[in-house]
Amino acid sequence: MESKRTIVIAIDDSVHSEFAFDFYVDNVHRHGDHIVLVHVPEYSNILSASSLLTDPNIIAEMIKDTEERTSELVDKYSFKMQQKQLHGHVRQQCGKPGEAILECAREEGATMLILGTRGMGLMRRTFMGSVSDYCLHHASFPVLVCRHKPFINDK
Amino acid sequence: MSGFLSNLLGKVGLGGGHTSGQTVEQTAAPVIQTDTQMAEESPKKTGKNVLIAMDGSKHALYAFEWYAKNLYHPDDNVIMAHCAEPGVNIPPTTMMTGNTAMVDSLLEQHERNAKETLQTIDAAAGKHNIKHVLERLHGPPGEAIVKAADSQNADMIVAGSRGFGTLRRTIMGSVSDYIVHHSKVPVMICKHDDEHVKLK
Repeated sequence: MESKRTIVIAIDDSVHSEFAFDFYVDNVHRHGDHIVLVHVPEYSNILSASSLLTDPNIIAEMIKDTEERTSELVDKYSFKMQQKQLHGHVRQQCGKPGEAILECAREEGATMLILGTRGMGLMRRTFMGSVSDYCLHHASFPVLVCRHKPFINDK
Repeated sequence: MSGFLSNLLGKVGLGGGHTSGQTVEQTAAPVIQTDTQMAEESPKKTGKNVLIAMDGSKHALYAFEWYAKNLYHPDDNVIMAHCAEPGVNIPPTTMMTGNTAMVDSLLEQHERNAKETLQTIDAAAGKHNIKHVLERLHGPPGEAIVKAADSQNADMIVAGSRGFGTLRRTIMGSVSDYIVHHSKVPVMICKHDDEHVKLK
C-alpha cells in the first residue's frame, strides 16, 4: 500500500547535518525508503581565491583538498547507511548550495527534503543558514529543518 | 474614560490585560488545555512528541494529512495546537466606536469559529484514528506554538507553509517562518505544489 518514498538529505562536514541524518533515522525512517544524500562541495572559496593567486599549484592543492574532504564525507555517510542497513546513494551536485540541493531533490522526485541548519555556510550571524532558508522558500515539497537545542546559542 | 478603554482592550487580549471568560493558568507558557486528557509523561522509545500547528486553514489540514501519512508512528504523542488570536480579527475602527455590544458579538463570533476549528481538527485526527490532545493557545501564533513545543517537550513541530497568518505574498507564511527561525526542535514545513502554481 505504501509507495516508495525518496528522502533527500543534504549533507556536509558539519555536525548539524549529522544531527539531521540521525534525526531522520530515529524519527522519520520507514522501511523501503530510498535515501539520496546530496553534497555540494564548496569550490566557491577556491574560485574567489584564484583571482588573487597566480600559482596554479596552490589552486590544484586546494581542489585536491576539497576532493579529499568530499570523499571522506561520502565514506563517513556510506558507513552510517550500511550500519543502519539503509538503501540509497550519495550524489554530488555543483553550484550554489541552495539551488544545487533543490535541483537534485527535484530530479530525484523527493518526497521530502531534510536539512540541518547553519552548516558550512559563512552566514554565522543568522539563526538559520542561508542554504536552509533558500530551500525552504523555493521547495515545492515538504522540508524538514533540523534545528537542535544545543546548537542554538541565543536567548 | 481610560479605564473603559483598557477594559475594552483587555477583552480582546491587548493592553496586557487578562482575557475575560477564560481561566488562565499562572504558568510561564500561555497554554490552555480544553481537552481533559493530559499528554503522557514518558514516551516510548520509538514514539515521539509531535506538536502540530493547526489554524484551520487548508494548509494546516494538508500538513496534518501529510504527517498522518508520512511521519505518524502509533507510539507518537500528538498534540494538535490551535492558536485563536482574537485581537487580529477585530478591526480597530470597531473598537474605537466604543460600542461594547459590537465588540462582544465579534468576540462571540470568534469563539464560535475557534470551536468550529477545534472540531474540524478533532475530526481530521479521528479520520486517521490518531490519538491526540487538543490544545488551545493564546498570544501571537508563532510565539505561542514555539513556547508550547518547548513546554510540552516536543521532539518536532509540524506546520503548513501558509495559513491564515500570512502577511506578505511570499511562498511561506509569517507564522511558519517564525516557527522555523525560533524553534529549538526540528520543524517539518509541509510545502505543497499548489503554492508555486498559483501564488495567492
